[in-house]
This record gives sequence, C-alpha cells and structure tokens, in this order.
Amino acid sequence: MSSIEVNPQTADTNSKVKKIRSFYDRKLLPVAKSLRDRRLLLFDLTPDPSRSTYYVQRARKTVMPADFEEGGCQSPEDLEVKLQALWKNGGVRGKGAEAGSVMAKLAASIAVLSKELYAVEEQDAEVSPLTYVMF
Amino acid sequence: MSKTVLGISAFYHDSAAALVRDSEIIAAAQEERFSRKKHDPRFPVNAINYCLEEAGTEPADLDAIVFYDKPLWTLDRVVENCLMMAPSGYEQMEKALRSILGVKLWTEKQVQHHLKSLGKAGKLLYTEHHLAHAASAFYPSPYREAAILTLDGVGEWATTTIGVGKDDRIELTHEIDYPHSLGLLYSAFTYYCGFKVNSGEYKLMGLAPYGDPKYVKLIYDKLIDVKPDGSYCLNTEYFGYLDRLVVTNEQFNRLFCGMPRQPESRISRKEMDLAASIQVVLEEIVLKMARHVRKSTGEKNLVLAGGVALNCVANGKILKEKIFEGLWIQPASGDAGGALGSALLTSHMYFGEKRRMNPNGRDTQKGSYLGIGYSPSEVRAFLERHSYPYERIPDLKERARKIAAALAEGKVIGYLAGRMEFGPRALGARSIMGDPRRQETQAQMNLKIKYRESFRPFAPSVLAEDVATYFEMDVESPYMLLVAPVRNEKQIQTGWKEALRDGGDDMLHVINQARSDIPAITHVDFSARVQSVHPEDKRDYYEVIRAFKDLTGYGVIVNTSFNVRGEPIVCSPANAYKCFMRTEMDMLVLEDCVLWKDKQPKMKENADWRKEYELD
Repeated sequence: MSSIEVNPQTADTNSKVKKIRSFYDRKLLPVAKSLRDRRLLLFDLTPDPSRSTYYVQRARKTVMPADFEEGGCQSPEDLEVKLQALWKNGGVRGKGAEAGSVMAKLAASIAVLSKELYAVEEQDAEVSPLTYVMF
Repeated sequence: MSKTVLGISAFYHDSAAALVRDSEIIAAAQEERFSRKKHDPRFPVNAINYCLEEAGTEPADLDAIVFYDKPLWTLDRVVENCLMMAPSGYEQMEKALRSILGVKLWTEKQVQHHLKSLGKAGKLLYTEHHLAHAASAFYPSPYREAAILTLDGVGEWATTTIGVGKDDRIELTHEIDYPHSLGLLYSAFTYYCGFKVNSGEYKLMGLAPYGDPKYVKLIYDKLIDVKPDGSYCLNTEYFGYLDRLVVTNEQFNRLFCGMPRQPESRISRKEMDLAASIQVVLEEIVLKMARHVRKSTGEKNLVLAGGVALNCVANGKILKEKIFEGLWIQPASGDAGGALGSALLTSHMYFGEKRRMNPNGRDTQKGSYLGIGYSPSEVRAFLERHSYPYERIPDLKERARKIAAALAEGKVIGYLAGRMEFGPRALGARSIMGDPRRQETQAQMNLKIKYRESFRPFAPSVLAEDVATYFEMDVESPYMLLVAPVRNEKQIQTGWKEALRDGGDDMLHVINQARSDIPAITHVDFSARVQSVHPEDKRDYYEVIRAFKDLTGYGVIVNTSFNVRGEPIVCSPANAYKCFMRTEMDMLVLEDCVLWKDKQPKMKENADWRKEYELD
C-alpha cells in the first residue's frame, strides 16, 4: 500500500472516533455540566466517615423469570426506548428522578451513535495489561 | 422435564461456555484453551462447540442460551462514569463506548451470528454478573444452605455482594458498587508492582511473603476506609481507572514515592513490601466481611466466587479463623465461571429445575474436570501419525509405578489424562509433576521448564487422606484454593528474612534454601497452596501419588500447570507434545502412552517459539 492510499479499516476507525468525539462534545459534556450545576452526584468518589456501613441494600433481592429477559437490546430503536425507561426510573441503582431525567436526554443520541459503532465481529480482542477490563 | 441450558461469558476476560442439563453440569471450558490465546475475550465459539459436542446436542435443541452479564446495565455505568469524570476521561470513554455500543450490547446478534440459533427460547437470556458468580459458588457446593460472598473487579455495577442460597434459590441482599472495589484495589497494586492486571494478581500474592507490610497504615489512611462490618469505600483520587487507561495515577505514584515498576525489571524490596501490605489489607477486609456475613445471615457455611476468591491465601485465613463450619470456593471463580453460574441460575430460577445434591456429601463440580478429553485410541492415532516413539502401559497401577519411579529419580513429567480442568488451576489432568523432596526442583521447574519468575512457588498435590500429615489443615482442598502452613515439625528455620536483607534483596538467596523436607512446595513463609486428591475425583492421578508414596514414603508431589509462561494450559495431545519438546521435561504421559524425551526425534522450528506467547 502506498502512503497516499487509505486503509479502509483505518478510515472506518477514524470515522467512528469522529462520531464519538462529536457525541462527547455536543451531547455528553452539556449533560455533565447540567448535573454538576445541579450538584447531582451519581456516585461517591471518596469515603464518608459518618456512615456506619458502605453496604447498600439491593432493590431486587431475588431473581424472577422475567428478570432473565432484560439486559440486552435488539436494535438502536429498542436501545433508545430501554435507556429512556431505565433512566427515567433512576438508572440501575435508582440514583434519583432528577439525575435520571437529565441523563434521559442522552438516550436518543446514544442510540444513533450505536448505529455508527455497531460491529458483529469484535475488532479489539486484546486484554489490556494496564487496567481491569470493565467496559 | 429436563432442560438444557448453555451459559456464555465473553468480551471481558477469559471467555467461556458451560452446559447444564437437568441441573447437572455436563461440560465447561475456557476459549483460551482452544484458541491458544491467553485470557481470550472473544466470543467462545470453540468452547461452545465443545460443550454442544459433549452433550450431543445442537444449538436449536437448547432450551435456553444465557449470557452472564447485563450489557444494558453496564452501559448505564459507562455513561454515569463518563458524566462524573467529564471533562476528563475522553480516551477511556472512547474505548468504552466503542466496545459496549459496538459489540457488547448486541450479544444476542453475536450468538445468532455464530450459532445460527437462539435455542428453543428464541431469545438470549441475561443474568446479572454477580448473580452468575453467586450461582457458580452455591449450586455446585455440598451445602443445602449457605451464605454467599462474591468479590471481583466489577460486574455491571456491583463489586461485592452478600446473600444466601437455600435449596434451589439464591437471594443477594446487599452489595458494594463501582467505583469502590476490592478487586480493583488489588489490581492497582498489581500494576504498580509491574505485573499485568487480570493475570498478575496471583504473582503479587506469591511475592507478598517476601516483604514486610510496612505500607498497611498508609493504605488505610489514604486509599480505603473500612468499616467494622468489612464494607469499604475507596478514595478514588488515587486511582486511574475512572478516567484513564491505566489503573493508577500520579497521586498514587506520589503516595508510594515513584513510578510503577517496569515489567520484567528487577523486583526490589519496595515491591515485596507493597505486595505484603496490600495482601494484609485484603485479608483483614475479607475476614471482617466473613464475620459480618456469618452474623447477619446466621448461616454456618460460606461459598465464595469472583476473581478475589482466587486469592487462596485470604481463603486460607477464613478457614483458619473457623468463622464458618464449611467453606466452598468455585474453582473457576473469575469471569469464566460466570458461564457456569449463569447456566445453573437459569436452570433453577428460570426453569425451576430441582437442585441435585451429591448423595455422598461432596460437591457436584465433578472435580472441575469438565473440559475436553481424548481417548487412548485418539492419542495413539496422533502419536502414530507423527511416528513419535511411545510405550503403551494400559494397566493403571503399572503406569502409576513407572511414573512414580521417574519422579523419584528427579525427572520432570508432563501429564495429560482425562477431561481438562475448568478454571485457572491445573489439577492433574493437564499438569507438570515433580519430586517435592528435592531442593532444586523449584528453580529447575521455574527456569528450565516454565520459563517464569524464580520467586514463584509450586503447589503440592497430596493424597486426600494425608493432608493433615503434611499441612496444618484438616479439610479437603480439591481445587488448590486454600493455603495452609507445612506442619510445624516439618519446617526448617532458615532465617530467610535476614538472609534476604543481607543479600541486598536478592530473592535467589532465599529461594534455594530448603525450608522443609518437601522444599519444592514450601514457600518462604512455610505456606503451601494445597490440592488434595481424592480417588473419586481423579483415580489415575491419585494412583500416581499413591505409587510415589509406596516408593518414597511421601504421599505428595509437585503439581504445576502444563504450559510455559504466557501460554494457555495445554488442551490437546498435540499442544502437550509441543510443550514437552520445547522445554526440559523428561517424560510425557498422554493417557496410557508414556514418551521419553531422549527417544523423540528432534523438533524443527523455524522461529523462536518463546516469541509465540506474550509474557503474562
């Protein structure tokens, strides 16, 4: 390949990176600012010595058959609906209606972004030696 | 009616598949064993194919296929994390969104793509990550009722959960959520000490006894607040995993006065002391949790799972403190075990299948020999196709005597027999064996066979009835998940701590000192990571140790995984033969065939095979 030819995979990657950057700048940062302005913390970043315990009670202690059917998505449209519902109910951990309603503004743009990023065969199959794989 | 469920874990680390039928575990395997890529996170198509083959079924005939995690909930965490960290953390967010929006969210499509079916359910089912861990710990355990404790890096949100299992049902009542994680705390020290996250934690644990726990107070003062009930909260200002691509940050470096150790560089006193310190902190927290769980649930037995449950030193402390009457730990406690847990949970709590207990009071994990096996005729066909010289010894006891005699002469032996182990430890189905009485065995096996760090100890496989003869332990430890001291009367005091200081922290000074009459498996602090071998679990392996005892008076041998550093444990006879020929092993046993190194044709390789595997 000569230096002026473009590797299709690289071009695809660059396009995806641009889409994520755009989502970050235009959608995510304003929502993050809105949460900060309202002093809405989504989780604790430092210990609170006044607490007697850091264990939290689980909202759902047992698992019902219907619970096995939630957790995935069929399509970007389905994703948008599920994210809206999840966040309007306060998210997985029930962080509160106010934070949830702010976050729900991101659902549509995340669904759009998912269309751009979709890949049936995973491209990046390396295990990072630097951090715990958690995303 | 009998239900067949396939469980899948994938896309994080150690992808795996497991198949459960009529609530019985039929098969379970990690993808890395087939793909030969260590900790392979890709969709486990080879492991699934094996499970289906073992069960004699097809994807369309499965009653359900279940994934061990809820990707939508993970996306919730990813987005919340980004929102909390913005405007920093863009790089991490880019990587996370590509991964979760590009691949993980569409797991059902991945299953459909690879298997061409979603089974009779017609849709993919999902379990919560820590419920899958909890199920993997409770259902195969020998207890009708037990308290459950799961600890790992992170699932969707949870990093620690507490609950109770009773008959067919599991309830998780409490949890600690991301970003507060005992697994991530330990991983931070793993990375800082120059080992790989996700795999080097075991090395850090092995390094700990060389050090002094001089940083314990600093860790408690700055990094973590721990309550009397064992619950904890990290000070995230010191960690990088929230907004960067490494697990620690500059604050962490400043706290410990320097940059992380470069991988493969010399290990200094500082790393030894850090390892000792974080190990002490981990053990103290786990013990507090265990006491709290005992008190709050009232249960007399405890089951454990999640990556932190592979810390067998901490597990040994729980046992020693006798907080519970019974302790059972899932041998595949990392993410691979999630495949098994999700299948079991679906079997019992989705389909309502009754739990089967082992009538003899032992567990139903089947020794964790749940992977692929090769028949003697398949082995012979392989050897004859390549014209590799071998001796066939069909009689089990005669073969065991031959192997034992070679071990007693100081030979190192590769051993492939029966179904492969599920989980990270080799338990005598894909093992390298040695003589524990010889002082030189540890260095020889580390440097000439495993090609790994010389400080790393080896584990003993001991006859189940002889455990208490050699170790301060009176329970079975079939999965090498409990550490116990070598019996006091067997210990030889060496003054190793002083020797280490006098030797300028050169660990080789102390590694080669005999610390007991079974020096090859006695760590510097006289501890050993015990595997008890019961004839009901693995007759052939038991007979080898039995024959070694008949010959030498010692019912214990050295057992390490059959691989070289960075290589997944061997799976097939071909993998085993290649590993045997590349290293300085003397003998190879493939089912009922025995091969001697000096009789084999020279192996021709065009490239340096050591570059084939990335060092772990």
